[in-house]
Amino acid sequence: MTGNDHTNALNGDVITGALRSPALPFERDHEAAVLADMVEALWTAPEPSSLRRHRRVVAFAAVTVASLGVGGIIAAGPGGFRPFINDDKSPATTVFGDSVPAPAPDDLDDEDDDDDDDDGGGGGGTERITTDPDFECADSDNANHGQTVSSAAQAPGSNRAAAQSECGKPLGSGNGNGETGNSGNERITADPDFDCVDGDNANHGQTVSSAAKAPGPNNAAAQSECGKPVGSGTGETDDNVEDETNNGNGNGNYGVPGPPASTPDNGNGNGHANTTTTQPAG
Amino acid sequence: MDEVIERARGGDRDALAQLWRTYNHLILRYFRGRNMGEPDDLASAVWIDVARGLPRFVGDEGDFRRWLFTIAARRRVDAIRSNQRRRIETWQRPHDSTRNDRAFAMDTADVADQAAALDRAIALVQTLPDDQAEAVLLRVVADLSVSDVAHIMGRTEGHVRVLVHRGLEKLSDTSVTKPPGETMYQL
Repeated sequence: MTGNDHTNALNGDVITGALRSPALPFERDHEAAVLADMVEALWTAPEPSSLRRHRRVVAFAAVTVASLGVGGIIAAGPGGFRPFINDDKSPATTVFGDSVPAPAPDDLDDEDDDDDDDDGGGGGGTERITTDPDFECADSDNANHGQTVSSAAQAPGSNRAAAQSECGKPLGSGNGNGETGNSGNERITADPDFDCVDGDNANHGQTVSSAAKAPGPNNAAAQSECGKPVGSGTGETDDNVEDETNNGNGNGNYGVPGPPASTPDNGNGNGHANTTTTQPAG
Repeated sequence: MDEVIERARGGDRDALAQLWRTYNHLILRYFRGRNMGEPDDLASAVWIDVARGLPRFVGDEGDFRRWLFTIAARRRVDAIRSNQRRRIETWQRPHDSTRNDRAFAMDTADVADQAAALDRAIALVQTLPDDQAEAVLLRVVADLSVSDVAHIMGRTEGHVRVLVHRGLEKLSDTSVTKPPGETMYQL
């Protein structure tokens, strides 16, 4: 170490010592005032973060519960909002689960003018325009709804009534507007004259299959309770093929009580009719 | 000191006073060395921030020292951004008006000598580049570790070591090479 370095080190130590020296009197001025401000600031300080975090957790839980509650109401279905929807005649009203656009205001006016019974208890979908009671199905009963509308469209005049009619539609596909429409749980009344062909041990599929191989309409077999487990239905009775109130596992279509299905195309709205397709023997 | 910090967290006025007496002069020297105007006001603002944050503070004396000078450094930056910077020459040290008869271990002559030495040291630090002055003050005055200084300055530890070394070296050179007539720089 040279003499110059020693001098620099010494001077550096002196500078460091001066900077680190104890507090001088003038550096202790304003102590009382600063302490008073510190005490005031300490007592008015925000609460610790742990408490704030706890409150955040509580707030988050409250928001979550509220969201779940609202979600539950929405998930409960449109029935809960039905009274409000029925009271509101605004065309802009949106129905939950509705994929069909709301009718135009003109249509609503027409509906109000000439409709008497469109306030039935249809459950899920939007209300359909009431079928014209004066319209009669022109074609035979075997024509489907499309054929009916097509034939009506070729005729002069308005074909709106044909489109709104139930001609050619399966009996189980009611529009849910009428007074007789219910929640869709009712099944089409089975043919009271149909008797289970097979034994009691045969299941429902076997019953339908054997009936399908027989000549003539076989939808009665499909609609019957033959071969079904006793507890499969939700109706009041399990073996009442003739019972009109036999509530099965309806799929949301609106049942139309009436005479038994008389045509092979008539479905019952619960999917069983599709199983009656005649299979060629062999 | 850890006990003092704990009591201060609970609002003990004596503990707060002890903390203030222990560190306030270091904060004042830091602000003076950084050429800040009105260092007393800045130091007061730092202590108010400390009081507000004490309920949330967790740590020992070293942590408290690092936290304290982190607040001071941020206060300095805020003051600069607020265009409140003034030359240190405008700061009038209240030698005669506020000095009272409180008990001090030093007699009047010693106090005057130490005050003069402190003024000279701070004046030398003010001649350093900003980075070097900041590093020297935090390393020497605040007695922080290299890693703490690097954290506060946002630099690497190696960079801080270089800044401190060059700063102290320049201080020594300046104090030696000054003309003999300028006794202010003779330490």
